[in-house]
Amino acid sequence: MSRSAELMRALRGPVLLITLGVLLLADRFSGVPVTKTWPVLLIVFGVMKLLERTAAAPAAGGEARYQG
Amino acid sequence: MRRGSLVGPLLLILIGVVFLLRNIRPDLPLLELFVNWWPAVLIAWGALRIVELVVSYSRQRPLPRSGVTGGEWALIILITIASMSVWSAKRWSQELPGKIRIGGVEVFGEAFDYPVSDQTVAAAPQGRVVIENVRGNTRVTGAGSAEVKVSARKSVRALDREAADRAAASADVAVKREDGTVSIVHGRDAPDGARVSIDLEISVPRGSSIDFRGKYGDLEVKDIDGEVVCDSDNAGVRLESIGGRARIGLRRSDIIRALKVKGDIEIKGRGRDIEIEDAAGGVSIEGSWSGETILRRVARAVRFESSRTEIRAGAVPGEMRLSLSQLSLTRVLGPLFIRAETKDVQLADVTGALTLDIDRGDVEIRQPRTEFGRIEVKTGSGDVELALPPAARFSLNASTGRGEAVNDFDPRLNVKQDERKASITGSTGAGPEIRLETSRGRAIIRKLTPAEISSLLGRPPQAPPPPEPPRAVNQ
Repeated sequence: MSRSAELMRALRGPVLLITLGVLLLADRFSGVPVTKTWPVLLIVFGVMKLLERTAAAPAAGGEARYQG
Repeated sequence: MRRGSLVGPLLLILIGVVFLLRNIRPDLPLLELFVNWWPAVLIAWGALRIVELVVSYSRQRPLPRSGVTGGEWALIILITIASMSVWSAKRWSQELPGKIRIGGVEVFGEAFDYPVSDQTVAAAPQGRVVIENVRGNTRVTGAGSAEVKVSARKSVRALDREAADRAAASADVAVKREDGTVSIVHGRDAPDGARVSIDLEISVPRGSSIDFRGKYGDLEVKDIDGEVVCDSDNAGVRLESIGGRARIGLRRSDIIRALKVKGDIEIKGRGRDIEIEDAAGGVSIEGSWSGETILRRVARAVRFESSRTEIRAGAVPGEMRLSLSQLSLTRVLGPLFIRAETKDVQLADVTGALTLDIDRGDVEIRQPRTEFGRIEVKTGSGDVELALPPAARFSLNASTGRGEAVNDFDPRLNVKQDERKASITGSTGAGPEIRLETSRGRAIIRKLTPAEISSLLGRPPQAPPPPEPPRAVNQ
């Protein structure tokens, strides 16, 4: 795995943590309950996964990335 | 090897500083601050971790497999759950009546009664009486005299007699007169947790207007020709025989009852039950009411508005009953407009145009008169049933997206039943237009029986023929 992909994977936790904090603050101060906003966590998780893949892609070199 | 992160030590430092501050400056609302702002700690934690990762990335140091370890996640989830429960517990305790303080005077205290001498001041015949009662019930009665008479009963709830004495001495009823205004004030809660409540019994000149402000305690007003304004955090309100308007604003209430109010009634806020009878003016209710709202004999426009329900009617000479799941209206002057999320609706004898739009719920409409207005009913899911007198003339367009259509009214109406959809269309003569629409459920049109018609119109049904006299069998 490339180094940038490793970075992306390591960043996943902290980014999720920040998102969680923002959602909880929004719950407290703007009245949007976490029970409504929690899917944002899934979205962020998915985006981080995607970024990890795209970061990993260059490391695959000249080989065909997708087969079939 | 796992290098220690900066976050652990920083968290420790933060906790240390918080506790130190707490010891040095106990007056700072640190706990409050922390309870409100702890998610910021999560954000800071995440941000710091990102900085660390980026720094070690750019310095070509080995990166950890994941930025936040499993143990840390467990800790975060634990903190989150704990804090969320503190939040909801706080919300709960704020909404509970009287804010129960466990172990405080509410539980272990004793009640002590103190005498209060009556006070009387002369008052203008049509003046204003301002009443401020922080805690305790208030009863106001109109009388023929030209003075305001206040009698009070003070009771203190405290841990011991000494504390009660101190609290009782510091809280008193002040009656003052300025120009046309008489103010009666029991202004503040006693210090050191003792709870002073003063029940006021006030007699005022009949023409007075009442302006009431309170925090906790019921209000009762009777026989007043002026207007009544009530604003309280938690009160049951009873009004009877009021000549002017009534404006009520409550944050919490178990019941509001208004009988024989001549002016408009305006209610705003939150609470449980509302009961209004014999209102000569209009009624407007706004807010969230979890119990039952009952209106009887309202002579002018009625408006009810909550986050889920909106009702507007020209007048309600009959009755309106509204609860969380049901709405029934009997004898209503239109135009009637109803918009609701989930409710079963029963309407009877609506004069004037009727528009009803609900997301879910059954609708039943019974019109005992042959003349009625345009009817437009729409429900997302539920049966729609319309019952009309046999002689009614109208043109009908009833449809269901999924369900059956039943015509028990007249063979001149055409029923069309597809595989899922069904409709009834047709006309019985020149008359108002009726549109019934349900996405899922039955559409039914039927005849009202003579007995139903007379009971809806308030006429006694015809007596059944008397039974034959018994015949003696065994001689």
